[in-house]
Amino acid sequence: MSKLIVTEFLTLDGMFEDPAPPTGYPSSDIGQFKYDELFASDALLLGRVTYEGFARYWPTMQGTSEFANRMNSLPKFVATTTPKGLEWNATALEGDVVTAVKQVKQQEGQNLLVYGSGTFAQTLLRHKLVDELRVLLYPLLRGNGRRFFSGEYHLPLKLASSREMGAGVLLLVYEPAET
Amino acid sequence: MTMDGVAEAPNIWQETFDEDMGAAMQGMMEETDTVLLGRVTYQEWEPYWTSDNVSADNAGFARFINTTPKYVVSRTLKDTPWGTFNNAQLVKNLKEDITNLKAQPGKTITVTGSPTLVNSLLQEDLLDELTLTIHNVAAYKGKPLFGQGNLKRFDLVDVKASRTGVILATYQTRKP
Repeated sequence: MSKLIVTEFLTLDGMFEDPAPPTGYPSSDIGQFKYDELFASDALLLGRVTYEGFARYWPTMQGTSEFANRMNSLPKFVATTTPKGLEWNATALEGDVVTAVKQVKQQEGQNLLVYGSGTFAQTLLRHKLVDELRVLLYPLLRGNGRRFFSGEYHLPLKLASSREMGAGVLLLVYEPAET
Repeated sequence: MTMDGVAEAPNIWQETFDEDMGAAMQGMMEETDTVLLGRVTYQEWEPYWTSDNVSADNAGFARFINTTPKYVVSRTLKDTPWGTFNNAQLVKNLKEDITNLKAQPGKTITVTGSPTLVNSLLQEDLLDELTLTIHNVAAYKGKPLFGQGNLKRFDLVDVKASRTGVILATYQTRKP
């Protein structure tokens, strides 16, 4: 069984932007954390919107960092209803997405990492497929935008760890609580 | 608030009030000499905290909220009594009245509850410090603490995780 990790950049008002950190908060700890996280994973699971943004951006970064190279080389599984034309080493999660993710999790290996992917991440949380939720909490209110948590659900969590990352950013690691 | 930013109806999602949260509350009460409330919180709290229904566990907060001088921000209320205690005073002009209040010597002016008021104070740049209690649950339902508004930035000045995993984080607002 692989561990499925959802990892997000959120603001104090719970907003997330297309999965990139808010600018103006330099922190080598965050860089190291994101690096370690990626290198402890051997596949990405992405919603369609995040996939499309990433598949446009990351190939242009090839060769600029080990991080970029690994982003490009890892296999990706994409939740999409229009699976044709996937590139960037990506395959669609075919059929029922929950069943498909369960199958991917069955495989032995490193972690499975979900970046951004608001809608898809909510589906994964709702179906209790997420083993860990990592939030980098940035010290700002965006004021308007899209909230990461959406829809109707109630998700009790356990705080596994918390850490100051510099620049006022907190890393909060949650695990779903037993219910 | 919950970790997804919901402030409404803590009776639904708040599971614990542990000793670390109690200590933080105690610290807040000790450094506060004036309480500022929004209208809705005033209308809910006045009958409750001045009644005989307050449990012994909450006696400390009841004493604090009943006896500390209070201001209520409202454009519609005519007067703001507080049970048999001294009346709360009415704030009608937020920016002017709060600026004057802040200019007076004394300890901290604390806003508790009152999400609408907190947002107004933030947008008017009247808030100096924000303490968030982030509970380990995503509630999904309920009014978020932070409404729509302009982008606001903060500096993190203090954080700790309570023994039951609630984050107590204090931020200072960055002045524009």
